[in-house]
Amino acid sequence: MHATSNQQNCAEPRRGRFPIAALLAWAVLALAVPRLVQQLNVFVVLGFPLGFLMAAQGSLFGFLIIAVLSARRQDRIAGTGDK
Amino acid sequence: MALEQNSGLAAVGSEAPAVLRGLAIAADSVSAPFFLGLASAVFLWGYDGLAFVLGLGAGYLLLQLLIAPVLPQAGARSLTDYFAVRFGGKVPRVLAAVVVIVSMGVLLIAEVQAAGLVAARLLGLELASAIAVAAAALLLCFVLRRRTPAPWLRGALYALMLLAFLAPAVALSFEYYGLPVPQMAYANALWQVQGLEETLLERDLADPAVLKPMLISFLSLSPLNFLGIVLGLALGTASLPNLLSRHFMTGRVRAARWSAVWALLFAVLFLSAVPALAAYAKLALLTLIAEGIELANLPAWIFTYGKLGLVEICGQAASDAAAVKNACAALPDASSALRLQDLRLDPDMITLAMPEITGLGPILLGSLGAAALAAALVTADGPLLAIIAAFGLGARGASEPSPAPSAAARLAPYLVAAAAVLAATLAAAARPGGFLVVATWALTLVASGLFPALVAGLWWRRANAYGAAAGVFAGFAVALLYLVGTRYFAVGFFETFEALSSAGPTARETFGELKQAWLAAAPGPGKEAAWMALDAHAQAIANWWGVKRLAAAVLALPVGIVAVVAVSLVTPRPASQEAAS
Repeated sequence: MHATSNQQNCAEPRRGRFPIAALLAWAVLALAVPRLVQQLNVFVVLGFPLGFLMAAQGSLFGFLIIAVLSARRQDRIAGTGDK
Repeated sequence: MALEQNSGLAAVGSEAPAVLRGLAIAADSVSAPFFLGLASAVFLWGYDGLAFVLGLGAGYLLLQLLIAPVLPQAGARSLTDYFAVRFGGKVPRVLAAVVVIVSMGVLLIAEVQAAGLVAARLLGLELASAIAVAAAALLLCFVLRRRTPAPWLRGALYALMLLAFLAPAVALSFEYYGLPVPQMAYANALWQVQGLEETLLERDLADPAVLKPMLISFLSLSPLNFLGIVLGLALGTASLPNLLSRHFMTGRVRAARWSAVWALLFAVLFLSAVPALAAYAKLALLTLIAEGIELANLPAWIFTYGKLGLVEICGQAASDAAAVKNACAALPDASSALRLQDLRLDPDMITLAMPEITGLGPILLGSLGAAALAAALVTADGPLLAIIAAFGLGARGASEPSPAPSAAARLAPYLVAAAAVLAATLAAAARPGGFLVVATWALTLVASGLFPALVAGLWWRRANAYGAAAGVFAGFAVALLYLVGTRYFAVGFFETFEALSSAGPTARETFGELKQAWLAAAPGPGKEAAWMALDAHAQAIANWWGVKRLAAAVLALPVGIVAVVAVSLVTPRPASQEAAS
């Protein structure tokens, strides 16, 4: 059984800071970049029109990078508290 | 508290390693309708179909950022239980349960449709009987596997799905371009498709009104609709009841956040290969048409799926060569070669038929079919368990005592499951839409009903029971009104909200004429036909600001968010916060 001592009220979880920067990056990749497809398609990257590439693959890999960075940051904030 | 957290059904999965849990989470959210539907969407709609791919992927990141870090600490057993634990009172819990039951019921319809399609193809049955067989198998699987530790089975399942989907994509990438990485190799296919599209237009083998070039954006969906689909799928995935109840309620926070990262990785492996497979299938089909294939020499897959009513040529189901010949001879501009506008592929069959369309062997078809069938049978218990939990059966809430179950209490979950599967089977037989569309409706309902109140509850201390109840009710009501109203009560919907519709003056005039024709028609078949014409036209123009049903989240979400915030602010602070401060 791991310790749950820092948890007085089960309805009130201990909070980290609200991940504003990561959510902004999410919104840019998921909502703004697909809208700008025509402007991005002017560039060709890896043989793809960039706008298509971003919606098909680029944003997905972007999400993955944000997720890893944010999970590592959460680990650091939590320290050894919940390992 | 700690003892309770580590006992019972929900805790079975929490001890598995994060990688395995990631695979299991991916299997729970990339369920059969998405597995078999995403590539079809990109095939048919080109760039616009990527909204579905992007939406699902975006959902995992939200899960990792907003849900995984805090939900496991709340001490709830299921998503509906969370509403009881966090907000107190009965109303938020009951409203959330209604949302879960309706949305997961809709998702179950899509699962049954997908399982039915695969059963029809693999067993050679008719679609209607295949749906019944699949539904029976699905219920049997649910009853038999109720107590198996979920992560191992689901992890293995997702690995199988990934292999079955990537194998044809890798094989084709290597065969066409000598590069076994589909995510990069298909750039060539995109340009070849673009060239073929021009060739078809030049040779008069495609009608410019029908041909939607794959690389051109916003031909099928306006940017607003694209946004709505991304939002609905992303927020729906992040608050999917079966996913959260199974993987994010108990256990350690660190494991929860890394399992969400792994889930995203495994989902990206699949999602990033989707456009590649779609491009290869499109390339194969357009090559076939560009070669000027005669109607007499059509490939076998057209008839295989034509017999199921999923391929139409010249407006008739392509059940055999004679049917195609007769149907096309009856056209005013009859042609002996197959033209793009004569061929109508149902979105449901495209992914499953890809190995055949691209000329790969039967082994790849078989493995894709087997993976899809397994996915449908196994993942369908997610929505079923969520429905059972919403009825307050099965996994018990932390706030309730757990007495020794009586025989009736043990039987009740199975009765609920049987009733849900029966209802979903009847609905699936009526074919409310393609299964990707139906699954998207389900996630839209989840996103609109649950996401605002869930996130407010997790991150905003000021959110209270009144706000949660208002948010769940308002978001869900708007989404449901829009989905049902524009589909089944289109005439009334259009007349009520005429000012909001994006229909042009001509379409409005046509509506008036059709309505007059219906009112004037004498009772009988003539009146029914007039109503059908009126209703079909109304379905095309019944909307608010041109938003499609698929994108309803873009309308319902703001309403839900405003309701949570506004009602919370004008009502008293939650009791727990008063005690704390």
